[in-house]
Amino acid sequence: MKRFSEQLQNKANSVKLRVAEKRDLRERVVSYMEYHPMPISVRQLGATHETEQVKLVHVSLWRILQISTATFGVLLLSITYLAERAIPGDSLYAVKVGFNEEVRSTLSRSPYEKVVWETERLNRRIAEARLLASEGRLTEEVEVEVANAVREHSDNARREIEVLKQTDVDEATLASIQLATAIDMQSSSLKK
Amino acid sequence: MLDDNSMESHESRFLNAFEEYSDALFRHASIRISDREKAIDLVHDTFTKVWSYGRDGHKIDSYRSFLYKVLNNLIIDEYRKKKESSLDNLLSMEGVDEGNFPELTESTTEALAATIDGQKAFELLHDLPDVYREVLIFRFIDELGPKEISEMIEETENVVSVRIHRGLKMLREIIEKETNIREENRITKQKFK
Repeated sequence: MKRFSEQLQNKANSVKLRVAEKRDLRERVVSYMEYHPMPISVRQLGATHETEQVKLVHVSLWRILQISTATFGVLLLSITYLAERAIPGDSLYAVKVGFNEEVRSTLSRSPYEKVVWETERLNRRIAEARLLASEGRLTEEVEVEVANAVREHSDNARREIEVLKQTDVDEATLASIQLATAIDMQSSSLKK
Repeated sequence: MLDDNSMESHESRFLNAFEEYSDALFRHASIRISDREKAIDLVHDTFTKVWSYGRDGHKIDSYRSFLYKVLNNLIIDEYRKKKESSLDNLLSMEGVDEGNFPELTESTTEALAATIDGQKAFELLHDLPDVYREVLIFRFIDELGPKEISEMIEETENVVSVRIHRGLKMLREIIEKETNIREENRITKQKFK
């Protein structure tokens, strides 16, 4: 069919407007356009040009949105990273405890993971208290806060161990030992 | 400012369409109606009608399809004016069954087209009824697909495929007939020498 089509095309291509014919035809069409201009109502519709403009605005808005999202992402990552080093009394400590650690809690799905994470949080609180003590910044107020936090995390861990016992006794025992060890270690180090 | 730009854009799009498609439209019309001056007039009328359509506030997504469709309607009107008493009229009459060839595939059309000399076919396109000439020109010269043609002439794709197939068969028969006549003439001439 390609050969037939090509042969037909070659012959058909010989049929075309002469330059003068095309020029005259164009003049006739342009003249018609001039005598029948676009009404204002149609101009205001903006036809496709308007859609092109909308598209341009849409593209630039999309770009702004992309840049804003990227900037926000970088800012968020920087804050959360810096917050990880914060200790009680620092401005970013609330971010560390209230955002970073809560996000990680949410990400811990199984009861065992939750116990491990609560144990880790407990260790963190005690480590923070020790650091403050070594710097001479451990006030009574902070001590109370740390004690409350340790109690809260150990309670959370115990609660999760109870949940874990119902599904996996061995893992519950293991988690329970890890928690007890952590508490013992931290208590003995604090006594020193 | 936006209004002026919108109008300019509309005009420039329209004139770009003129530059891009006027030759192809003229070729199509000229082959269909075999009248150069009339073909130019039909192309002119096509563009003015499309411009008026835009003036009425209608949006034109594809100038190519729309221009071809308007031109095709004008060509059909032209045929109606001439009131041809040909197979065209019989086919355009209500209730004429053009057949249903579900087995008609592109490969059978391809095989049929492969047996035809395209150059001779071009010279003999005028001997075909316009319903067949129309689809053959759309398919093989304007290179539109059956679906596009079906939208253009407002028939089903099946009807388009059947017409392409029948048109090719008719062309082959006409070419064979021509060849036989020439051959007979040559032999007759030789006898009288």
